Amino acid sequence: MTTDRDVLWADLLQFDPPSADKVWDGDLRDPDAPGWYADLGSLIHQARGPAEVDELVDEPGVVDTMRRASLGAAIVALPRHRGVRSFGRVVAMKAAAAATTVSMVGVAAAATTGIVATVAATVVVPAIQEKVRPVIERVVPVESTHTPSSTPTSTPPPARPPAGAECQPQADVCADPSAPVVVDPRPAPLAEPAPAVGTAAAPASTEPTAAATDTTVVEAPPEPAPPESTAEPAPVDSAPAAPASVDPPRRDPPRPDPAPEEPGQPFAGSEASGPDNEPGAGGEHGHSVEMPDKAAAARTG
Amino acid sequence: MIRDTELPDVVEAAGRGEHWALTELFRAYQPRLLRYLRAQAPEAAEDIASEVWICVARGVNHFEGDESGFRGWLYTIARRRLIEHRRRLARQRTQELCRDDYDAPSASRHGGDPAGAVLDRLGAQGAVDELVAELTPEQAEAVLLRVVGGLPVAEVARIMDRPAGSVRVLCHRALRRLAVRYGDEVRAG
Repeated sequence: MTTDRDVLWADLLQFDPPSADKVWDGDLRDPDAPGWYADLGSLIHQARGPAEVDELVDEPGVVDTMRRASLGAAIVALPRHRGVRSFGRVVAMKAAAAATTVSMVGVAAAATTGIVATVAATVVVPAIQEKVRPVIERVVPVESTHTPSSTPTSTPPPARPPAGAECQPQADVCADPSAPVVVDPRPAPLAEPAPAVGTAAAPASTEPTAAATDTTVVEAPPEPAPPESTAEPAPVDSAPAAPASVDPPRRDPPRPDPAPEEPGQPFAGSEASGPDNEPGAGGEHGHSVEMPDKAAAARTG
Repeated sequence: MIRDTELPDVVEAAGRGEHWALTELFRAYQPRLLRYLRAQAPEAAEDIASEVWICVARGVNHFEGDESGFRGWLYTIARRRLIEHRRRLARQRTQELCRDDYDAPSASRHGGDPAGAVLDRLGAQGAVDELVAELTPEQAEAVLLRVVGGLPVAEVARIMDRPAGSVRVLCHRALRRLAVRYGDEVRAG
């Protein structure tokens, strides 16, 4: 209970402005003051206390902004209170978590109810068959003329039919004068060190490496050529020249993968469709590509 | 506080953008300004204080007056910024809850002894919050400007755009409330 004396003392102060001012300054020394005024005075002194640590924590940023403002600079952004920033961050994180939860629930519901599978079966698969497959088939027939296998890189070529049936579908190929130019897998290892050493001085980049790959394929045939047919002076450059070069394929029918080029086509095409693209030969060819890098690394190392 | 004899030099240097003068002003007046703002708008006190200081920096080279006048100018800017902040809050219709809202001053926690409450919290802001905890907004504003701002009644009246007698009445009613509260609590404790 508050006594009348407490309120009366407060009421009397309004008729004494100097004393009232001293009350709020915490300097009133009145012997008639009630006991609670001592606590009020301590509160007032505490409220006017010196600066605390957290009250000056923004000083560097605010003073710097003040300096720019006093010099007339446009203030782009005010130093923000950390509490507000953290509150905004918490709100953003909660929103992101809610969005993620909703999306996951939606995906789970779709997967559970089979909507995704139904849509895939009714919409996606027909669309692929109608739109994507013709495009693929437009590209694939070009390669299928060169590679008999439908999966040339993953599976070995199927076994050839008997000799009589072999020459018939590839009659033009057998008659092709460029047939002996086709890279023979057997002499290729003999020709490998030459471009590897020769290109070792070249900088290790992709383009010289590709050039080295070309020279490996091109220069390989001349070495086996002289023992077989000396009448063919330049098998590489004059591919359509010598008809005698047809003989070697005939003498060696079980050659695993002739896949020759047409007369008008140079060797660039034969790399893509020839035996070097076969699983076995690809490793050798890749080996010749890697050699310059290893040699260069050995020299620099 | 900066003494009256030093203030003109500090203000002049601050108008030129000199770092030491701006720092001196900030260190002298920021603590009480922040207590005043935290008691009125705890969720945005630091932001409003920053805005106040930028306004001070922009207009300090036009300021003329003594130290009490500077304080009055500072709290005038602060009060206007507070009013703008409250208008923004009213338009947004949302209000961020401050940590202190969950931990409001409670007399029961201290056994009804305000001195114990002050000693318990050991902070100037706690004392300010305790002082205006049960006052009306107008009474609290008048008491804050009188106590925390250290402004005389005439200056408080000018800032609040009221007659000086009205400010005295507000302060008197605030004192009666404090008398009822503390006298009762002390007796109850």
